[in-house]
Amino acid sequence: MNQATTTAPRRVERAGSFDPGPIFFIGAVVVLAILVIVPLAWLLWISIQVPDAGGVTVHNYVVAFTTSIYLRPIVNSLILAVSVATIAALLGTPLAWLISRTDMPGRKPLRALITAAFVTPSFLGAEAWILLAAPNSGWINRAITSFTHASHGPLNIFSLGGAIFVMALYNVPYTFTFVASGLELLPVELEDASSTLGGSAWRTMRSITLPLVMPAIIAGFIMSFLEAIAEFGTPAFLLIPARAQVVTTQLYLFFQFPVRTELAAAYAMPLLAVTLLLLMVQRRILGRRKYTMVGGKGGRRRLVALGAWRWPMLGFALLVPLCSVLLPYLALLATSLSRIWSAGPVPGNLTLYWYRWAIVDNPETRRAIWHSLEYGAIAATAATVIALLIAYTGNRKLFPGAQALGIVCMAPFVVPGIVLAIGIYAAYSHPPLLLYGTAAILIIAFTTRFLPIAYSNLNTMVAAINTDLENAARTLGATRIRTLRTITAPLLRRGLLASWLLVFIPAIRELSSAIFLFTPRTATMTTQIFDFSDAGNYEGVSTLAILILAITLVIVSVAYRFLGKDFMETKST
Amino acid sequence: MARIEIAGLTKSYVGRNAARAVDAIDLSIADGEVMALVGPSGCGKTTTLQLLAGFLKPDAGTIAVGERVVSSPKHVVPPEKRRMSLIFQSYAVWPHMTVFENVAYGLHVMKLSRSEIEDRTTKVLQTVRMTDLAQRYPSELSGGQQQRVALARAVVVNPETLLLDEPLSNLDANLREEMRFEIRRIHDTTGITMVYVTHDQTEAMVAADRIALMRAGKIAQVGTAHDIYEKPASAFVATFVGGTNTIPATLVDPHTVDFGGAKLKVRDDFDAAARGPVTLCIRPHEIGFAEWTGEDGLGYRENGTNRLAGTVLRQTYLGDARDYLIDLGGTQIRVAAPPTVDRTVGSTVHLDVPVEACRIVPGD
Repeated sequence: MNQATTTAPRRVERAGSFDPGPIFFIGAVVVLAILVIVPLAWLLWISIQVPDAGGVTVHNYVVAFTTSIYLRPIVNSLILAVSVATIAALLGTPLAWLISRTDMPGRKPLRALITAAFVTPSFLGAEAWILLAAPNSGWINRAITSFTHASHGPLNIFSLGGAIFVMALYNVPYTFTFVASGLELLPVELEDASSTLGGSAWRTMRSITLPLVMPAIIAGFIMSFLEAIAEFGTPAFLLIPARAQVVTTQLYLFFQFPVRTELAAAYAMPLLAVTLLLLMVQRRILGRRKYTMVGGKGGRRRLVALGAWRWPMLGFALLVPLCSVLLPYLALLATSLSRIWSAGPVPGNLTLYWYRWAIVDNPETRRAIWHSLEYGAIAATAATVIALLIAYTGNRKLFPGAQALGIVCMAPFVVPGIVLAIGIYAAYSHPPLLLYGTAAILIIAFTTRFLPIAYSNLNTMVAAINTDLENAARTLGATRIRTLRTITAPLLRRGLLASWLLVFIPAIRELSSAIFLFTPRTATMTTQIFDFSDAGNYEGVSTLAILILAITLVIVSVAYRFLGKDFMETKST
Repeated sequence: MARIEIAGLTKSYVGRNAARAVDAIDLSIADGEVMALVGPSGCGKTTTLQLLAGFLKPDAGTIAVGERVVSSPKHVVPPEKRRMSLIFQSYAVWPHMTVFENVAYGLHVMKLSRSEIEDRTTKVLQTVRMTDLAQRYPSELSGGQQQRVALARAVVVNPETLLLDEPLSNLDANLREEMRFEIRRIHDTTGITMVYVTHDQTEAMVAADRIALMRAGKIAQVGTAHDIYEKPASAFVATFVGGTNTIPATLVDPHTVDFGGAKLKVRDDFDAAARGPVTLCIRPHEIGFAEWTGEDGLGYRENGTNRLAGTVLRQTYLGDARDYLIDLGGTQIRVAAPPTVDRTVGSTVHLDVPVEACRIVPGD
């Protein structure tokens, strides 16, 4: 049906019964343009603008990629991303094998701990590791120096190595998830075939199992690489003090006075290009992986008996959760409960003071907590509604080319948060839409950034609805929009709730785009953590961090209960 | 009133199989009539129904209800404004609403008062015998019960036209029989115009006043069940409705065909101006085995039957009948004989066919 041609005559026919349906769908398209197309177009446009004067130039690119102080961060970013991805893959692969294929004890709690690491933002891990391994005051360093009596502890988290360590920890779950699900789908017969031919367990693993899960390992590697190269929080906390810039922190510095938006836009382009390229490569690999898994059946399978190695292996497997979840959570919790963190969590120093301070007494943090929840909720609602309307428009082909809107919805997926923030800043920091300094610009950033999650989730669900259910309502006199409201949306209610949560959770912990767009009036929990960290208020940092983690864990566990275990899956695929 | 006039209706699907799903069909459906659209899958019957309901826009042609053109290439009145209810093959009963809520939905859309909604819903649930299950959810109902909910939901709004898309194909045989009569009963009490799509000729014969038989996007024949069965317009119609043997023959004069040298008399209801190749249609159960007397010739005989000779290729005992495959010198036919008639494979047999059972249609 063609809305455009049917609307006009209908109005003539029955003047009283105007159908407002098309307005909603056209409205969704306009909003989509504001969220995605305008910022990305501005990003490209501004990168070839002469600063303050106007006119087209390639000068920004020349400056960005020939000046030596700007080249060093690019090298650092590559070192960081390659190291993080390599270490994460080297740790994640054996971990996946141990947990999914062997009789190692404690596999279930380990899996839960890795999920906890997955939902922990790495910049909170970085904060925790500052508490643990800052050169002089870090607890681990102090514990060591109390024996060695050296003036410095051996660990320095404020270094490229420190950043690699922290980010690798929080990227292990990517490789782990890909490889574990690959191993679970792998037909056990393939391995049996090798062992019946006399292959030793080690040989079977090397020549059969490992090659078969290689695509999963590579996919995990790419995912970690992309996360690491686009990550802002951890480098900002650990590398800005170390004066070892990476691309994302350098972009942040371009936004310190004097603001050089044009240069930043040009400098961000390789990040965009590399993301786009690697995601295409990963798609190919994962597409082929499915092919290799045909005939695989999950469920019951024999586990490899580790024998005497069971406990040593558990020791190894515990290392990652220990460093990514147990120690950091403990450090943050202890600090948030200590009047002065350097005194340590000892009786007399323990207090709930900082929670009272953060939630009640300090208007700054009180407002920030409220902002995080408010912006997150509005962004989650907006993203869900837009994703629903666009998924519906595309699936029901409301007008020619409607399916192309889906591609626009997915576009932010290939844009690192920091790059998106530059585009949004460039587009909306001047008339006609002067939004810089308002809550709206942060909400736009969050909505855009996480729209692909809501869209990919809802698109498959809308496609799965039998259109007869909708058509039945139409023949009974319901307009399209009434049908969407009373039939389609209620049928999708689980999907809508899942989409909402999948946007809300990352939105309340989003730092990389918020950092460019917030002003003191619109600070959120994450920007507040950034400011407190800068000022050395680690008790405040820890308290807010614990609040974010608590909110996340509560939501995730509630969602698990009501929506089933697979509700997070769409996020990683 | 709901007299439906379809003229030159055409719809093509773009894409790989860019065929004309509906190809310039004309059809009038009288007010209060039950018209069945029947045909093999892919014949365009469901597309026609979708066009009638307003879900598709025609490429050419028009659909008019009474004096009002509801579909043309320029303008389609949307489904919600056509006063046509549709019953779906999948039932399309909403799983998130109770039986009562499903049925009351259309009345809510009409913005009726609470008490009127209550009244009409209760009444229609009685009609379909679902009163006791009004508060159930569809997942707690059987297929037949869901179908009754769909029926109640469709008729409670007093539509001008009721469209039914293969409404019984997901039911088991017993329920199907029951629902066929249920649908007919609803028609007889409401007098509503119905368009009924099915691939099952028996269903069409029970439910419909007239049948439009479709093939490859065109209407092959329209008529009552009796017309179509007795006077098929083509070999396709004869084969699809009731089943038939098709035998190539040559028309030599208006009442006589030549089949392999034998002259056979045929029914006088085919006006073949041009002589030449025709198709002789004989239904399997209208053929009888003759006792061989040795003297009788083949072809038309004075007792009003045509005699044929052939060889038994295969026979299957079916309990209430024997199914024979017989070779008539290169043409194979099926014969449904009483179970007591037992001829061995390979034997030569003679068959008698009454002239009344020999219909001819254009040859192809």
